[in-house]
Amino acid sequence: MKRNNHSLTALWSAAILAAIVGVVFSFQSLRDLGRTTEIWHKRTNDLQAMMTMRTTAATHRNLLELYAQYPAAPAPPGELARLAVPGLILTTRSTETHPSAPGWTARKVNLGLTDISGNDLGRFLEAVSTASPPWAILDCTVSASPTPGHLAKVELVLETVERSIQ
Amino acid sequence: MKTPATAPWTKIAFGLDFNETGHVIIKATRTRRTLDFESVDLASLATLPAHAVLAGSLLQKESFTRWLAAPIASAKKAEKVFPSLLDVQLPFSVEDCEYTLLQTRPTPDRTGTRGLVAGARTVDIEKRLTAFSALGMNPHLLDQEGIALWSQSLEETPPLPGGPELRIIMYLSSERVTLSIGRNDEFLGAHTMRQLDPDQIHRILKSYFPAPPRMTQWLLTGPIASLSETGNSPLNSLTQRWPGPMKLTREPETFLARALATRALTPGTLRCNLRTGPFLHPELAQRQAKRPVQWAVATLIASLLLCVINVTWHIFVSYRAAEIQKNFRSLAIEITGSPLGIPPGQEVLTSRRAMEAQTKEMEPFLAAAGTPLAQTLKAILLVAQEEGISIEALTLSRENRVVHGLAPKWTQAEAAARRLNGQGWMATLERKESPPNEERVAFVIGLGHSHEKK
Repeated sequence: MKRNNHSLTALWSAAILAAIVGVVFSFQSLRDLGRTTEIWHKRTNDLQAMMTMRTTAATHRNLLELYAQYPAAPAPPGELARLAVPGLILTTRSTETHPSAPGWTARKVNLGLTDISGNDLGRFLEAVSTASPPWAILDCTVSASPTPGHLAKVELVLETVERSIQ
Repeated sequence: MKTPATAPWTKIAFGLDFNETGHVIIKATRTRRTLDFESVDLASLATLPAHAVLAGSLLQKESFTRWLAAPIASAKKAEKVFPSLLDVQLPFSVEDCEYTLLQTRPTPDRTGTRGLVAGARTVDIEKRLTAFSALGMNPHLLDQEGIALWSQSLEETPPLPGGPELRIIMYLSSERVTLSIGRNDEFLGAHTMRQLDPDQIHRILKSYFPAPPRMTQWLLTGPIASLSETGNSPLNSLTQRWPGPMKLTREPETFLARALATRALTPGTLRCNLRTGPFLHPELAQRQAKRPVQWAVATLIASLLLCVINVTWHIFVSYRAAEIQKNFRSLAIEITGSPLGIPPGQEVLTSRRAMEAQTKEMEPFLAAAGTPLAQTLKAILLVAQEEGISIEALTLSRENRVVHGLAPKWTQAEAAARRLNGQGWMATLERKESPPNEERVAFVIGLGHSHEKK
């Protein structure tokens, strides 16, 4: 009987101990629940941002792969003008380069065109923007000419990327 | 610890209606939703099926029921004073009794508590157990006859709303007549007599109801219950004084045995076992002794389960966190193009910085991939030519697209703006003051991308 009582006491002690541990654990879990939810929410947002960045990075990689198939640099605007609009008067005002993606250099050219018709301007811009690699037209300012059918003055800013010389 | 009055651990119970002249034994088997009953003989009780219980009863003459009223609203507190109140009511000492509290109800004014107590003198319990023992039986439960009759009548003939207010169950056997009396579903009291005595019954009923209620329901049961008597029979004289329908219960000869077996198997109100204290059946005593162990084990299991759930939750959270971290790392490597220079936990920041640098480097590539200004210029020149307007100045850049022009009429400037709108631009037309000596209308068209629309 006494042994039974001892066993029962031991059993109750174990049960109460386990209950205390369980309750403490539960309180801790409940207390942490808000923080855990907040962290998970932030992590989910971060993950979405990372996925967007991955898509952008993939776009960049695809662009670089595309440019790798082009010649090292496009024909200069003067040459393109000669082919597209013979007789066009083109003045290169300035040229500047700056580093772009690894292995590539960006080249920016400021051009002035005088006494050019709308159609010729269109042909010239078409030629530069379809070159390999293409010239991007960053800026184009056109001022009218007093001569009917002609445009007096065009200021252009073109930019392209070319492979860096190793 | 309260002595069990039902045996939920078993599916088989034997109800034994036993008196000086004979016995009726009913075997009740619990199925999913119902109880199946069958009559059995004494020989089948020689060896009881495993875990089956045997339920007998103390006759009404060997036991008592009392309603006690304590001026205490709390039922728990009232329970503590009921023994003293019972002691006052009984013609013998409460110490010489085994009793049990069956039900508590608030008093009508809700300031006190009423309690229904059933009990029996220890000498009567001893005598009853000796009588059972002479038959070779040792009942697990000792119910109270009047209470058993009442609860079984409610089970088999539930009171109907608007039905008789007073209900009397009359158990008729060759050696006794027992009355169980109640109002609606509330048990009021039980009485017994050697033979049917209408005048005595009338007096008993008058003690509960000074005037007969609108209707009384008479339920006859017991081995000699019968409705065949007519004329000036004692039953007829009773229904004349206490008018109401009188009917026989289903299988009246086994009614009490059925009640005892039902009450032993199913939990419910007014369950009663007067085999308590020193008279407790050894098997029930053993079960009762095991109960603290069972509770301790159940508590231990529940507590361990709680611990396991919490540990599992923590493991799950850690695992998910590690998994997300792994995903972050692999994404960061993919974005930055190198596993180097990514401190653990700073994958997002490192990736963001890498992307900012990369986007800046890629600007010239992206500029060429955007909408070519050449096409925009071509579209503007075509519209100008077709609408007969002349362009005075034109500025095209990624941020700014403005056309200054002269149109013969304002409607032509409007048409040009409309056409540019139709080509996917957001064209805004504004009239300007024409230069001196200029008959044409001066205007400015600003072009925005349609997605810039507010």
